[in-house]
Amino acid sequence: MNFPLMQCPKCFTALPAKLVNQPNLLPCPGCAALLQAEIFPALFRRIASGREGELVMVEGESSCFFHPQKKAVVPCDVCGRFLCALCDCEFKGQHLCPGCLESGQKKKSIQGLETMRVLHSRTALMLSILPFFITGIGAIWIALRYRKEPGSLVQPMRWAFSVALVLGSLQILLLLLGILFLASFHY
Amino acid sequence: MASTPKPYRRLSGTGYRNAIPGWGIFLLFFVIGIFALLLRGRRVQLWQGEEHLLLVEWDGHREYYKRFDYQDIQGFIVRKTLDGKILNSLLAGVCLFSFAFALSSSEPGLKIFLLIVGGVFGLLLLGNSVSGPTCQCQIRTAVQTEQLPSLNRLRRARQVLNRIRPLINGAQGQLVPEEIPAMLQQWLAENQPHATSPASDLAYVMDDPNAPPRIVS
Repeated sequence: MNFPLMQCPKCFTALPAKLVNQPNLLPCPGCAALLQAEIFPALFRRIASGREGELVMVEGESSCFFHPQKKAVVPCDVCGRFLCALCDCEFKGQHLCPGCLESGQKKKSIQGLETMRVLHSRTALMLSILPFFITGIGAIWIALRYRKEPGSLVQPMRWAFSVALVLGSLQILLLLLGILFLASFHY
Repeated sequence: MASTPKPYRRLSGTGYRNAIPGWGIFLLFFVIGIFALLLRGRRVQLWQGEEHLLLVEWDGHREYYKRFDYQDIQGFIVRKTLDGKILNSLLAGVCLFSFAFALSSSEPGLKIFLLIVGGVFGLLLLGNSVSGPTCQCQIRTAVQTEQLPSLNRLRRARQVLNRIRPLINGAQGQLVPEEIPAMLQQWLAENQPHATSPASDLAYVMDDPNAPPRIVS
């Protein structure tokens, strides 16, 4: 018996049941590539079908903000607008309307929806290490401008701003000293 | 002062989401030198969170995140690859050539230079051999199948799987191996109704009159 959902990544042959959850590598029946497949109960979980909003049957019954003809089932936890079953986006136990979900992702106010962060601290540090005059100024500017921005989700590296400030200042100081030194020879 | 607990713990392994394979970058090294490393693409690491696995990609300026909730992970597939062996043979070739030229050279300066080059590539060969066989690892959820470039060595992939398996089992429950065939049978019955219908006896099935016929085994 083959698993229609688990396929060999090389030849896309459905893997036989005897090949899954084995401790060793076993050859794929299609291409003989050595594989180890591990499955979990979520593979057999039925995907819940989307709900449709019920129509408002009684006059005066609260209706969805976005679909006035549909019955409201829950208010949005952020803006309080009434939502029908279709507009109710459940995320980590919160009921949100599509607009709040989108703005939450854009403003990074909903934890767990963030997909990208700009790492100013590392950029500032990199610029402060590069031995050019303009990079020192750039490092100081970035460190001052973005010091309150959140850093990486996994390695925030807040110290990098301070180091960038120090190294950037040193870079400029050394350059000014160099210019003064050269000028003293010239005049 | 009590320190705040870190939300993520790093899982071993770093990979690169590159268009050019590792041995291609190795060959390019002889053409464009150290700049070949710029073609490695985004750096990829895996981090273990409380409720999810976090895939972090770094392009030098930004970090991109993908979360895989433990309760949504359907499976992993690890496939052994030949990349490590190819790289080993390339490194061994360069190493041998360097030593051969060094032995045949009469100029002491060139001899020393070639021996150093051969030694460096020998060390790289040793490192690659010690790291063990290479592999490709995929994670599967209901909506996507994602490559995990950080799990590019078989030993490391197994280590990481051993570490996150209890977390997934904790979120989803343990899958008893004896129950798998029965669960699969049930899944097939629910999701492929035509498999038990008389149509399954036919060699070709047409669901959609506009679609090409499909072979059913």
